[in-house]
Amino acid sequence: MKKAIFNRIGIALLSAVIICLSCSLPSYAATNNRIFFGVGIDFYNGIDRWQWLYELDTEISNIVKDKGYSDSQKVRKINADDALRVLRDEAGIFAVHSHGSATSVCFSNNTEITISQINALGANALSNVDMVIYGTCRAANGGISASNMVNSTFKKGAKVVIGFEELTYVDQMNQWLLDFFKSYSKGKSVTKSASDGLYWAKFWHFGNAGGTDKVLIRQ
Amino acid sequence: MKIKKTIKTLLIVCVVVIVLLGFFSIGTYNINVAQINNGKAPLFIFSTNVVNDGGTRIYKGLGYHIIEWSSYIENVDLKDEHIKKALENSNLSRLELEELSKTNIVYVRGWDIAWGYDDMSTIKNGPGSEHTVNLHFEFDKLN
Repeated sequence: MKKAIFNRIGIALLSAVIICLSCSLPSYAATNNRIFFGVGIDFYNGIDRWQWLYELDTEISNIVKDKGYSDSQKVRKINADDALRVLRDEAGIFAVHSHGSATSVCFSNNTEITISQINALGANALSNVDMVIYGTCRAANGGISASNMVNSTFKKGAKVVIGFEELTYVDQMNQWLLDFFKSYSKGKSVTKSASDGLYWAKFWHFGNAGGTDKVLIRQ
Repeated sequence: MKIKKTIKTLLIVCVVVIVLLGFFSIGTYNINVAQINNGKAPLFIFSTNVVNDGGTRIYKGLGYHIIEWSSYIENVDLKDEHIKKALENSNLSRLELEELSKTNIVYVRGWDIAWGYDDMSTIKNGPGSEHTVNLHFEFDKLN
C-alpha cells in the first residue's frame, strides 16, 4: 500500500518536473509554435505600407488555422534585430512591405536586415519558415542566379521566397500583397496567388503594375 | 449647309481646347521647373506614386512627370555613370562621398522633370538625366 502511494507521488513529481522543464525552454517551443508575421513599416512621411494587413483579418486567421500556426502578428514598427529573430525563430510566414534593395530590407529607426546577416545564418537556419515575402524594391535584383535577398534567404532553407526584381510602388505593393493573401487563404498555389496579386494591382492602377510584374518566386 | 457649319464650329472648339491644353501644359511645366529649382513641391499635378527605394516620389502633370528623388545607396560605385552624373551636381566631392559611404548609407536627393509618362524606366535608370536639378547627396533618415 505504502509502495503504491510512493509510486504515485514519484510519478506526480516526475510529471511536474517535465512540465517545468518544457516551460523553461522557450526556444525549443518556438520552433513548434510558428506564427504568421506581417510587417508594414511606418516611416516618417505617413506613407501607408500597412493597408494590406489592415484589410486581411479573416484571411490571415484562415491561413493560421490551415497551416496549424499558433498565432498571427501584424506590426508597423519593429527594429531589424527583432525582425531577424522572428524570421529565424518564430515565423511560419514572414511578409514585409518596406524600403529595400538587393542587399537589405529597412525596418524602424534606420535599421536594416542585410544580406550579410542572412548569409551568416547557419545552414538550414530558416528551414522552419514556410514563406518569406520581401515587398520591397529589388530584393530579387538580377534574378535567380544573382546575389540578392531572395536567393540568400532561399539558400538558408526557407521553403518559398518571393521578391521583386525592380523598383516597386507603395500603392501597387499594398494591392499585390492584399490580393496575394486573399487567394492564398483560399488554398490557391503560390504562383496562382502571385498572378492574382498582379492582376488586381494592375486593375486598380490603370494597367500600371508598379514593379509587381517583375516577381521572382523561389520554391 | 447647317451641318457644315456645325462641323466647322466643332473643329474650331477642338483646336481651341487643344491649344489651351498645350499652353496650360507648357505653362505649368515651366512653373514646375521654377518650383523644383527652388526645392519646392510641384504644382498642378494630378497623380503621385511613392517608390519603396527610400521614398522617391513621382508626380504626374499634364504631359510630363516630375521625380523627387530620395533613394538610398548602400554600396556607392563611383564608376557608375549615374553616380558620376549625380556627383557633378553634388555638394560633396568625390573623395568626401567615397569616405562617407564607407560607414553610412548615402541618400540621393534631387528633382528630375521630363516630358512623357515613362516614369518607371526613368527611375530604373537612376537620377542624373539632363533634366535633373538640385541633385545632391545627403545622410538622413528614411522617408
